[in-house]
Amino acid sequence: MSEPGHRRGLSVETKERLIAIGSPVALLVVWQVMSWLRLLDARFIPSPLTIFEGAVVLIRSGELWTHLSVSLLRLAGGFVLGSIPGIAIGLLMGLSRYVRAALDPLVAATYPVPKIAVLPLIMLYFGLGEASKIVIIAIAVVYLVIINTMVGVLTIDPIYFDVAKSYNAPWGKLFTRVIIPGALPLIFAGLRLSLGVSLIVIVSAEFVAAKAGIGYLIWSSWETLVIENMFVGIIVITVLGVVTTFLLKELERVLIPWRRERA
Amino acid sequence: MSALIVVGLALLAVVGPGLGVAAAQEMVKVGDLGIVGDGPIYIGVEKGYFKDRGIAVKLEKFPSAATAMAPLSTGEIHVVGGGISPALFNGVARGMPIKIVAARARDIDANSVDVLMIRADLKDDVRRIGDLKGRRIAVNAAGSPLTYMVARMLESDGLTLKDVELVSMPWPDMGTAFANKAIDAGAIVDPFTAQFEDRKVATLLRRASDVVRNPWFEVSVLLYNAEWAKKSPKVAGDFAVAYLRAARELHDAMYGGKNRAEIVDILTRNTRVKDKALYDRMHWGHIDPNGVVGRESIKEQQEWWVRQGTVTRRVDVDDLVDESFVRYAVEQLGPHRGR
Repeated sequence: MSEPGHRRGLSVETKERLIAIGSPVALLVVWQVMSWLRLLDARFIPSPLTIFEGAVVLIRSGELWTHLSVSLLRLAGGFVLGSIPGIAIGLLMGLSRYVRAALDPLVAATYPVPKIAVLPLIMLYFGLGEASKIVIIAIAVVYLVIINTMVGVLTIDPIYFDVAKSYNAPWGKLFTRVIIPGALPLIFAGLRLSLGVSLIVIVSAEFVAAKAGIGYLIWSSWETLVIENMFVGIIVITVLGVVTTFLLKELERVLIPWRRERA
Repeated sequence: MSALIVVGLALLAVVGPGLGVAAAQEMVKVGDLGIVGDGPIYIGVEKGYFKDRGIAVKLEKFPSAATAMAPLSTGEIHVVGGGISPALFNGVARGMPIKIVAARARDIDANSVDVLMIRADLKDDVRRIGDLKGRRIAVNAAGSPLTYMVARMLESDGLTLKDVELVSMPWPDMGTAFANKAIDAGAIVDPFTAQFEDRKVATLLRRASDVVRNPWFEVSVLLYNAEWAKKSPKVAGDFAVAYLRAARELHDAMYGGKNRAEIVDILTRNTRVKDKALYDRMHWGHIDPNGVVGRESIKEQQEWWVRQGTVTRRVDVDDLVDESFVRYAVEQLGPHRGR
């Protein structure tokens, strides 16, 4: 990983990172200035500084951490519960045309159903507690992972299979040396997409059926017109999206090192 | 060509205002929640009381009063019936131009729409409020006036909200939640009370008026956008006259007046309660026929929300309430000897 050639690339990366940090900061500055100039209605869109003050109060009281930890646990539970069967089913569908023929229509038919629309049903079976939120995230995750994993397997160049066959590679080797590495880039793409979707789903689920969590914080703050706290919730979700995507990307770097060369 | 247009426009300017009655009427946009509390609006529209005062009412549907608060404060709607909620106090404290102008729904003896129901199979286990300790109680929203009611009920038997588990869900969902044993009790309003009793999923434990008395529970009030009322005081005053005229008919009908059948007809057409028979079994919620606002109850509720930390800045309730419009209406209509 520490080839000398890498040094030169880093400066571009650093520049990119600076721009990536700079653009949100610039947005905040513009927002604050617009608030000072009263171009924004402070009753509905408080200034970043006011939101920051609200965040400090929520952090000090421990309230923010309570909501954040509840949402994180639900996200983690749902993500694991959705991605593991998602990868398994996706691999099966990619490898067997009969499994694909059986499941593809079902997946295609149920995938477009907005996941939040089935929340009442899920609550009927899994109750009002944590289980129903974890299950709804798992459902949101499983589809994207299935579809991406399946496509990942299907797009592996047939020549790899031919080579493995001509060397009489046993099935276990074929799986670990050809199928998994071949499908991994798309599996990760599926995981990253589903991470974004699960953030959307958890917030909407917490809007309607929770008594804690970031979605609950956003909605209850809006209902009681404590608008600073609503913005704190929204910003926390954005940060959560950025951080989790970053972590997944890092994991991807470790697991699929050859992918960087292509980028 | 352009001369033709000029002549045409001039003609239109001269003839235009006389083209129809509607042009002479002032448009007032009113939030419509589809509940009995909005009765005076429906009655006033159907019987032409607003029209008599030169007002054309445009109804804008909202799923709940809470969602109407922001449009009210931006002037997208001018009038809406709203609950006494933390959103009202917090909104006014942030500078939203909202005034309480008249009474709407109040829980009084024998006319109390807000109730606490318990799951049907708990009838023998939960005989008094104190038996709710450790149980799960549903309210329609955390910042709902009914949360205050539940707290007052719990306090009446030595409990607080900390002794129970409070969950939020819309009223229709509570029926399913009772059936699944997902909740033990729920803060509910008519007509759901009657519906849940019919389905045998829940049974009445207490009505708000059993516990919240002196002053009675002021649940909801009529709200004006203050900027609109200031800019068009004549329209705002005329609106109050028509509103109160219709409110008196609602009042008389709910206490068995001769107009009851007619009013039930109007309510069935406009509210979500479509079953006429239900009106005889459910409470309607008292409406003050002179529009007088229960300030003391509002002050008490604000203090309670402040103690919960949900309201951070107190507002001056006497400043928030502006009864000048209903006073004008009473002058026009004469006082009413209601309850």
